[in-house]
Amino acid sequence: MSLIEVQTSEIVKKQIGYKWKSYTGVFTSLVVIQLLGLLFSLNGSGSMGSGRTGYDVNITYYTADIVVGFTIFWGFLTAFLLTTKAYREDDFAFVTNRKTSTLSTIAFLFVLCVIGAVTALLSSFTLKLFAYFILPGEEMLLTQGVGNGSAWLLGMVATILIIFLFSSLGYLAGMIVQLNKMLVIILPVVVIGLMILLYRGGFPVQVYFFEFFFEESNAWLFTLKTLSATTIFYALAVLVSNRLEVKQ
Amino acid sequence: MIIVAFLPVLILLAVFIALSLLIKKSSRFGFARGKTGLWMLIGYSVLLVGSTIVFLVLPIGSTELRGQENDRDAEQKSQQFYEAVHEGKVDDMEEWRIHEWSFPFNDEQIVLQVLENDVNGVNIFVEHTDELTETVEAFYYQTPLTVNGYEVEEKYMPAVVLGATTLSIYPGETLNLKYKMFGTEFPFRLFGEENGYAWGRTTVSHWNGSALYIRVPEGLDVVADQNAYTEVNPS
Repeated sequence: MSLIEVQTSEIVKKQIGYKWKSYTGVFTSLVVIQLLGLLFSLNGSGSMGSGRTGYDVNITYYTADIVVGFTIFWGFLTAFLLTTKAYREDDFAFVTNRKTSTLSTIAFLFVLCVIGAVTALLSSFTLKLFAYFILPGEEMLLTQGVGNGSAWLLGMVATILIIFLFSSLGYLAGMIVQLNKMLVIILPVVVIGLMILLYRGGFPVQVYFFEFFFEESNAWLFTLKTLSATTIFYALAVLVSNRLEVKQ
Repeated sequence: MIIVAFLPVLILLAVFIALSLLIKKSSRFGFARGKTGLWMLIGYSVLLVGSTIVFLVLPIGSTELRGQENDRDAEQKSQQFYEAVHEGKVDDMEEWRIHEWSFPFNDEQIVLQVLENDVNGVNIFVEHTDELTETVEAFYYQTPLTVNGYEVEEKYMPAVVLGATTLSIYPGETLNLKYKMFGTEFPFRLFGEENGYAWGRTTVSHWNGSALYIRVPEGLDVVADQNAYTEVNPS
């Protein structure tokens, strides 16, 4: 037995540093997916046409909504893949247990979500700049501002929370799949099948899910909802991971 | 055609596979190794920050507040315009006059022929006045059309042609206006007054009001289809 007492926070911090240096593939994928999102956004996130006496007005909207959407998907997939055996075994290079390993992964995922959210929202300026200088054919430019600094900060926090929420879902799904490899096929089939069945039974659970989170106009309630759901999903993932054998 | 229909699914599948390869630790794909990812992120961040600075320096400001003020103004003007045109207050409508026509005419009866298509109908008002003799005048008025608070400069105009005894009004050429709108991302719209998913008031914020005002000499008989025009009697 060692006389040196090791603090959990120290180990978690070291593991985050290690993950930051060695999991650089997640950054590559983030850049690739956001560039892809930007490419898709060049066609406009939406358009609206309307006409009345003598006028036919067509407005093409440019927002980084697609980039944000892709980043949410990236958060889900990254968390999912971080649960794979190859990644989990890396933690055993340090003095670790399952608790510190999971904590450091969640913290690392949060850092990734912050980076993902910041870059996704900043990419809107790149998109708009590109549309401003390069995209031809339109006659005039119109902008709709975010508003003041606090509104911008609120939007930024909301983006981080949304990506983090989906990463928790990905982490939970990944942990479930680690129980048995067959679940990689069974899980989506069951989830999608249940959604279809419930939808046909008059209970569109996916609609309720989106309404619950994304139609919440109160910032505090939104934060409470997303953080609670994220905590529940991560807690469930930890419970599932406890069923895995050591070094499985 | 089938490929085109499945293209979004195929693209998403390709993205999914590419991402999995990039993130998966056991992947032999070069980008996932070493410091390449970190450098890519640094380079990308520099690009993003650079674009943000350039965009903020560009003279493209938020037009929302100005837009709302303009909308209120335009709404008020439109109301004043319709009141004035129904009461025949030509002087009050002067600021909205786009074009005028004047035709010599000395018959006792004039046929008003309105050739409309489905979209380009025009409100026609006829005033009998003793200020005119052997002349028919037509004025086209239009209040501003605003898109997100911006006043559209291009003006639509119908064509007015006088034949032997017929005054024909043809729809003008439709003006196709294309705009780029730089909106905000959906997380920013979550906590607004209107909920995020609708595009809300980002389209035409105020449609224009328009009228073709025809002045004919007192006693001239105007023949036209029922409801083709509104008779105006300025008091």
